Amino acid sequence: MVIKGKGLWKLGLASMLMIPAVTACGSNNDNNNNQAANTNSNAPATNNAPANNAAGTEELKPVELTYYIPQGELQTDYKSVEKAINDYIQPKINATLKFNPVVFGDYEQKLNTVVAAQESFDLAWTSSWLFNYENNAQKGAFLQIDDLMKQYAGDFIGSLPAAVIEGAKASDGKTYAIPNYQVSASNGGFVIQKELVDKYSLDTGTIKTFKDLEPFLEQIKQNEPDKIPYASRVNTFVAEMNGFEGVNGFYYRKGDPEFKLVDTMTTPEYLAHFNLLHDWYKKGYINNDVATANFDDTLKSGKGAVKYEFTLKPGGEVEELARNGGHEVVYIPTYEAQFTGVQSTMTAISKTSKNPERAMMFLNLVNTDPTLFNLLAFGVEGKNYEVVGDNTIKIKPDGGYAPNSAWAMGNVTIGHLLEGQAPDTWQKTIDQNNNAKVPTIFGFAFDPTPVKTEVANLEAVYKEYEAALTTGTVDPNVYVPKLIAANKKAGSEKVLAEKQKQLDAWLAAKGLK
Amino acid sequence: MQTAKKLSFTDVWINGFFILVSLSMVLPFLLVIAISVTQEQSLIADGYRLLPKHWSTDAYHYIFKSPTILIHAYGVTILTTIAGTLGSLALTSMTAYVVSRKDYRYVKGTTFYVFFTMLFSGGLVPSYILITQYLHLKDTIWALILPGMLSPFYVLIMKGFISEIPKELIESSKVDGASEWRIFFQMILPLAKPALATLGLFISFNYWNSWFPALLYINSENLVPIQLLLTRMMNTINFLTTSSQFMSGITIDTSKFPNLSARMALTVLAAGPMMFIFPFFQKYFVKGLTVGSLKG
Repeated sequence: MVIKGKGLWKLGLASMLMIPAVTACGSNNDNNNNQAANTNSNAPATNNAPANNAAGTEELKPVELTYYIPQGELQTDYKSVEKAINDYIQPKINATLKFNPVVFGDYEQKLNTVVAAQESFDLAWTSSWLFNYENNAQKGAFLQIDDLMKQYAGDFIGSLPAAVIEGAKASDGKTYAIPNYQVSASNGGFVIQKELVDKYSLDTGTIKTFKDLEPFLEQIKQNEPDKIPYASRVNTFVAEMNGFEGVNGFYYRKGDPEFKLVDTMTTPEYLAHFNLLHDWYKKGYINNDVATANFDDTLKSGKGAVKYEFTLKPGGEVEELARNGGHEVVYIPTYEAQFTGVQSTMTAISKTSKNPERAMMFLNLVNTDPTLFNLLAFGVEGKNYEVVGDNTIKIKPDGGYAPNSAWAMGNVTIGHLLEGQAPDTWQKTIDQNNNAKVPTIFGFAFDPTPVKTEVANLEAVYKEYEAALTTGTVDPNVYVPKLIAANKKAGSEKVLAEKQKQLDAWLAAKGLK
Repeated sequence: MQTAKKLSFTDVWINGFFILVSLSMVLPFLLVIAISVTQEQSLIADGYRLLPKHWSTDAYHYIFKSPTILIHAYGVTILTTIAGTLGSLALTSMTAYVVSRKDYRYVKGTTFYVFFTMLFSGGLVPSYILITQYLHLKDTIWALILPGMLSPFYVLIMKGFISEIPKELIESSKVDGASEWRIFFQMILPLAKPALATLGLFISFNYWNSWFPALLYINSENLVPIQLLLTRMMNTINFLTTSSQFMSGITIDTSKFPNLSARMALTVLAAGPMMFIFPFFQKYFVKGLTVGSLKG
């Protein structure tokens, strides 16, 4: 009995070991068969294609492109849009698209795993602030596309301003992703509820600085008990409004021939700005719980009369409606628009892509062909949206596809406009980009590796002070010196010196110094 | 015997302490329920209250507006929980039974093999590669069920329990001519019921609450479990609030995102069913837990 029992278990163990091996082989075979079957079933389509299209498509084998794309909320019906897109692009480039939508909150984690596992995919959205372009390019996640771009996306690249092409390059001077072209020049400014501007007949032309707002805020405070005169948010010290020039995080005094970088937090302007906000706080222009309240919720309640916005885009007033609880707003820009680069939204081709040429052809189409771009961004006409005017559409929220993320998908200037956006929005966008002031040190990319620890420490220190200090809640005369001291301890001087060193090297290479 | 006992200082202290502990656990959940039935405007204006100023069931309307997603998600969660728990219990008890039998020749090696995986695991990326590229489970329901199927920790707990069943029982069954299968299914499993119930509860919690495998492996919307819906919502909202500075240049209509009360309503819906299941297991729960620790 015992022997028999033992034998049984051995057999069991042996068979357990066998199972993975067998299934692995089995599924591999399945896959090969599937691929073969796919090729066969697509073959007729290939034969039809040349009829519609000129030569060149003939040699193209049918391929599937997988596309990782972030969305605010996943949609219920990707299938029908996918089908419409595929019906459209198959005759042109004989490729089909497979959506892999991921919500923003999960995007970084999921894509990092996919990249680390070297999973094969073709296209992925990337940016300077989520699923970082620079890091992933250096890590080898993306394919270098300079040559591919010239070969297959000439029409698109040719249509872009030179600064955009330059701005798409990673710090090693090579291109790894195509920018999703849109407003890439920013000027911040005040956003004021229109009804109040009209009621108190505010002359918006006179408002240039925070200080200029004061009489208006006082009026609101006196006459509109339900409103918060100034909806304060963190970080509103804007270097450009205070006589500095540069790119984010790297500022020097305007016109300084030495390009001597300054730590803006140590400047008298910084202190003065927050003294003003604290003064407003004391006068009651700012709500008492501002340090802990959620800024977006405050806006949504419709109480915020004035706020500062870091980027005012052409036509953006419409989008503000929803954010402000349905109140119409007026934009007041506070400084000349600056070119800010294009790395805030791009599409890269994966190094693991089996068909990079086809992926590039697809990108070229998305960025030059309005039909395709609109399919991708807004879905199928009639089902997902209605046309309500010349190139203007109204999205059907229950159509099953309203991803509301055209900005992550391609060249928005060839796409539809949303209801309420001015017809010349795209022209204005292009003009703003073309006319924007390009900061002298634009293109400089900082490599934080030598001062990584200090940078992390500084961030931690700043987070501690941010909510209380930069909303105006606490007295800056006490807290700014504290912040500066804590920064020094965390290594602010070392970081500044490293920044200066790298900037000097960059300036020297460009012949600017 | 039934005379009223005088409350001693100790009684007051102990009862008071545990009342506080219980309240600290129950109140947050009651608050969640309260928020889920509060009007959104009132939340922004008045803050969180246990007794809402303005009642509203809007949040639940919002969630049930597109019930297909929710029903799908519930279906996936229930299916993975049931299939996963049953499969996992079967595998766990069989493995545990084998390593608890002293007359199994490789008992030491096998136990060590099980134990070893508790100390060292492959890590995220290798598991991902294994599941997507070798087992080809990506975007299938199996990716949600199989990875959690066998936990070494539960095997060891189960082994502790089964070891306590007198081995004479097994021997006498053998003498009576029972096969190994019969001994396992008709003798051991019925005796191990408390442990099965306890582990079953743990395992079903794990399956019910699991969202990470779904985040990694699932792309199609109709295989998303309910917890992932919730996590996603939280992640996205968290993300939007932390990167609003970057997002300001880009069109995202934040008003589309579920508001506070909707989030809480989804929490209630996701956690609810488990709250009702728990009491049924409770009688086994205590027994099973203590039993495992008596003997190694």
